[in-house]
Amino acid sequence: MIELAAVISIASEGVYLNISESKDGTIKKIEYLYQSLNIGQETFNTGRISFKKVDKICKILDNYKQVLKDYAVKKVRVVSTTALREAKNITFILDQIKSRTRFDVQVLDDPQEKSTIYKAILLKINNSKLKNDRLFLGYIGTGSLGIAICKDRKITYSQNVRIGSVKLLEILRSFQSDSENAYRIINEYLSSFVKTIETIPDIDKVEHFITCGQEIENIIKMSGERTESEIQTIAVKTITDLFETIKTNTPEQIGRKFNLPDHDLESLLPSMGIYKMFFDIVKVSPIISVPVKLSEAILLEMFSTDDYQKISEVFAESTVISAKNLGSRFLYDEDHAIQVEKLALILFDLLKPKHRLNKRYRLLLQLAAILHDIGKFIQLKNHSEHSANIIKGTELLGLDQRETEIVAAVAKYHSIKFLLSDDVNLQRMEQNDRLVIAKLLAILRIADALDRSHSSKVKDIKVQIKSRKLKLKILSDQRILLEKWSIETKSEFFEDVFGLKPEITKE
Amino acid sequence: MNLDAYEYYFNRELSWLEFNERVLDEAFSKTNPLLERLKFLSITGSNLDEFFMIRVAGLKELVSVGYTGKDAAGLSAKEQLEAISKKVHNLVKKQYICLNKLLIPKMRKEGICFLNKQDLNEKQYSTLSDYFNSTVFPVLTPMAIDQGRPFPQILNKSLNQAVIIENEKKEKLLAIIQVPSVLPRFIRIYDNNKETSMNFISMEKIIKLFAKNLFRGYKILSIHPFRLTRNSDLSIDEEEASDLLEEIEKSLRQRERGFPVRLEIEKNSSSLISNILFSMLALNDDELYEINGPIDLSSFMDISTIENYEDLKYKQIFPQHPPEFKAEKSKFDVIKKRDVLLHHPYQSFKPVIEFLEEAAEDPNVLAIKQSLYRVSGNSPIVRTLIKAAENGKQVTVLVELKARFDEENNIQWAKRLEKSGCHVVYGLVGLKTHCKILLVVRKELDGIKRYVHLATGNYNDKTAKLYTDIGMFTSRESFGADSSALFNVLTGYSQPPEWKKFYVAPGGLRDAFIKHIENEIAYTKQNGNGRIICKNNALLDKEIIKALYRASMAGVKIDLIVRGICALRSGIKRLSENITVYSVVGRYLEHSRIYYFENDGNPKIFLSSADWMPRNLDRRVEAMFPIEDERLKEEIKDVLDLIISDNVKARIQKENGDYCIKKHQGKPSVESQEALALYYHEKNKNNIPDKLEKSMFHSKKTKI
Repeated sequence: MIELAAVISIASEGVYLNISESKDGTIKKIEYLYQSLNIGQETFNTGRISFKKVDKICKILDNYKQVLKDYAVKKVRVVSTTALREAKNITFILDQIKSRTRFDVQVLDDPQEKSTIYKAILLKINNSKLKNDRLFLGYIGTGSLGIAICKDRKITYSQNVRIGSVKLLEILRSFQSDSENAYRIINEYLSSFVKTIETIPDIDKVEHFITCGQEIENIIKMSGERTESEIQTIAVKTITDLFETIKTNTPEQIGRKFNLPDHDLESLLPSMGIYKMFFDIVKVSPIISVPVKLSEAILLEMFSTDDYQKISEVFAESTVISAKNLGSRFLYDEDHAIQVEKLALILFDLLKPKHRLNKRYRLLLQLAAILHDIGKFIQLKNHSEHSANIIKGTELLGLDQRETEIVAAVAKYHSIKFLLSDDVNLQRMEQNDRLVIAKLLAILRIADALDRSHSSKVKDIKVQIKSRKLKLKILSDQRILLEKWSIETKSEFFEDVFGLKPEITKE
Repeated sequence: MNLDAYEYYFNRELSWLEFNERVLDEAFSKTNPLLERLKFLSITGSNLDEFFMIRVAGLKELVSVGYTGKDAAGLSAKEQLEAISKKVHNLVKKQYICLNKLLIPKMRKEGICFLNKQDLNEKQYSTLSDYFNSTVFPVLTPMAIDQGRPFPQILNKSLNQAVIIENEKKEKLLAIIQVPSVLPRFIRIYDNNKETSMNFISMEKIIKLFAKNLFRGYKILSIHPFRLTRNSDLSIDEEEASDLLEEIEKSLRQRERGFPVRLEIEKNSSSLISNILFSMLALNDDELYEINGPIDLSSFMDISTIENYEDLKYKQIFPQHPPEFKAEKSKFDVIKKRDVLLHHPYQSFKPVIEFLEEAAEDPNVLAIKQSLYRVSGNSPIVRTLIKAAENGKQVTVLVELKARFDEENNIQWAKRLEKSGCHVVYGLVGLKTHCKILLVVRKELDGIKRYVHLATGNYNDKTAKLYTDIGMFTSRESFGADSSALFNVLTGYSQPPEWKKFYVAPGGLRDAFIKHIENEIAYTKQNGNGRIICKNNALLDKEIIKALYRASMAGVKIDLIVRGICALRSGIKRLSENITVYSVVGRYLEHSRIYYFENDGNPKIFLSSADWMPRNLDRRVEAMFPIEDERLKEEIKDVLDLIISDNVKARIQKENGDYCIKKHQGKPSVESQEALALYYHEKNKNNIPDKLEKSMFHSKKTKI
């Protein structure tokens, strides 16, 4: 099947349009437009975006609309990241853009941006030998730095550090410094982040350093070592040598010397500084550059090819790993968590015809099951509320804000009486999401009840739906009286949601 | 070695005048048919007009602001003006020798006569009298000049009669009559007795004959035609202009009134006339040209194309239909399989129009984008684009409003295109869009497919019959992507990308040329086989000239086929010994731009819209693209081979800057334009686009 799709990305340094075509699983770029516009500078300096800038954004979007018309593209997504995300007047900005261009701009949050990029990177290296090794992924976003450790295609650790090349540049600008000092400031500023990165588990066992983005592509171009292949490599020494030769140059000098477009120049020095900081910690060479940009990564998601879906599934495992890492950090009862996770998923799968929820919600349930008790680390009383707060305060890899809210809500209500109308936060949520929460919650409560004694008595369950009853046949070699009682106290809610009364029997 | 030394460069203007001399040589050449010789003469005239309006005016401006800088050849603006005046005075003398001594007598023999008063019989006289009274008189506005009536605006390039009249008190007055430009310059006088001949009389002579009717009560002492040329370079502040189209319309009106740069006046006019005109127009002595014959040779163009007299014109050569395009087959299908070259005018321009027509009607075509610089009047290209827009295609047209002397024309049809729903863009501020590119986006079963036509010359069906230009159709993906990107740059939608195949000016084309020249230097040092052939219309860019000098010094063999201006000096010992400069002036205007680099036996061949002039490389959007299909590369090599072996119309630059026809040295004569016509004729006949029989041209070819 052939499909056309387009992504317009409103970035800190300008606006991009990427029109691509997907054919039998391969994606071909058809048009790539770029119009530089310094949006980030304004956002980072004043915290707002002026309407003058909005005018310019709308003008560019109108131009792009003409190009979209040329190809009769129907599937279009307009996304933005830091540049708009951090503007205080974002609501008005989005509304203005909508009313003037009819485009709905989707503002990606930071974890969303990173996971989209990671997935694209994993897809690009899917056919190389690299994929099973231990990888360090370093992504210089405009607003923050994404760092992840990956093994066997699964991300075992991820962290977003709040420095990005544009942000760094703003800091530099505020110093009004000449280029010589600029380099020193970058260095000092970055050294404060070294500690955070040094303590990342397994960072010393990393076999490859993988990165992506315009900056590294420019660096490779400047080094003259670019080859025809898609995945490029460059020795660390080449980069550090290059850095030495240009660190005292102004962007204009660099541009002339290396024939680079103006809009790429400013972020070059800060990015090189960031890479240099990485090299001090991750001691592998050469580093590997994968051709991934945000707009392309989003297109992959839009086309959602078979390969991409597979990557997404593997990526869901990374999300689970990140939840478990979070659990261990809060000293959770791992056995109980795993037992509840297992039971909840069995129930979810068996009840599929009843809840009609997709795989993504299965993952959310899984996460809620793993994390439902982590609040006990703080205090047993109201622990579910603490669980919810911890979940909301953490960036679970691959979840967007809405999904995080759902997981948190499910965890929060797992042990208290569920009253939709009582919870202010829930009122804010969409009707549909509230329904999802209720369904997931109903399942989680049963799963939790089945391990009431926290001793993993239940080995397996079989489910039968008969005349408004959910018959749970438990396979266990222990007595399950406590669980039976617990099910009874929690069955009312389940009945409310699914119209089925749970009944428990032992096989 | 100081490559900037003045003695290594020719002055641009003098080199251009040298070119105009070569055109004039064609008017002298007995081998050309008579009316074609008249046409060449007329072209030298219109060429000079433009030269004065733009180049001389520019230099005059430099002098007036006190600019004392020197050009590459070490001449100041003032010195250049002096040298130009000297050279043009000579040139004009030659032009009228050609006209009066050669062409007019020969035409008379053929029955084409230009009559004077004394030649008219009574009947002819009365016919003319009727014509004057009924047609000419109503559009004449004689203006007398005295204290009360200021000197009238004399329009650029308009022909006028200066009349000295005397009233009853014996007071002398100057009056000026503009020769109406709405009427033909030469009026045919029918003569029943001799239908076989054609008799013409010029408009200014008719006016002179009957001028007494205009000044009743005065005595006419003398009456002489004159013509004024003015600065016509538009100066538009694009940065400030809110609407470029409006701004250009405004400045067009001012063109008529630029400062004067040349006064042509009939020889032996009364000194009173020239004195008054001189003081009124504030001209210098050397800006006066006394003309021994009818002023404004460009008006002979109409005579050179009169019907019948076919034996006095070139034998018609019909443009060949390229064999790749079979009649009923879709051009898309052909281009999908292979690249196709079209070499005009040897090959027809029609396929380009047909391709566009097919695109306008094809239901799978989504979008058409095209750059237009100069198009013909009632252009089928414009018509088809309008049709495409009406058929619901997304049509984007890049109209260059600043195409010199076509501005007005372009404004007209730009408005028409806009009305029909085309998306009309006027290009980038400060840059002329000179690249010639047509892009068709088509939705096919296996996805989006782009078809591109790239050319060295304009999308103009009329000039495609007279100018040699090469166009290429391709559906290569990288070409499609670069073309899309180029349009995105031209529309201002995107910053330039990294080009896959193209080199685009400004911002990289000059460097690309220099890099390729340096490559040849490197290969020469390594293997001794560096080779460069360039064919274009002008070579002026100093950076490139210096690179070529370096290449020559390194031993790279260089052939430059440069039609017009060439600031490079060939054949200077230890500097440019390995460079030969050719210039072909023939029945067709050489216009294609081909760049050939040997590249160690794996030649790189490029076509481009750009000459080697700073304006092409810095102030225009130009594109250069490679030829990748091996067969097409062979074809271009054949073409270059043929041109280099030309020893009839190809001149070679001598050390002193003169040009002379190549010596035969026992070789049979080769006229490249004729030979190319034959080449494409054979290609079509055999239907094989491959190698031709070399012996056909009876020439041993220089091996490329």
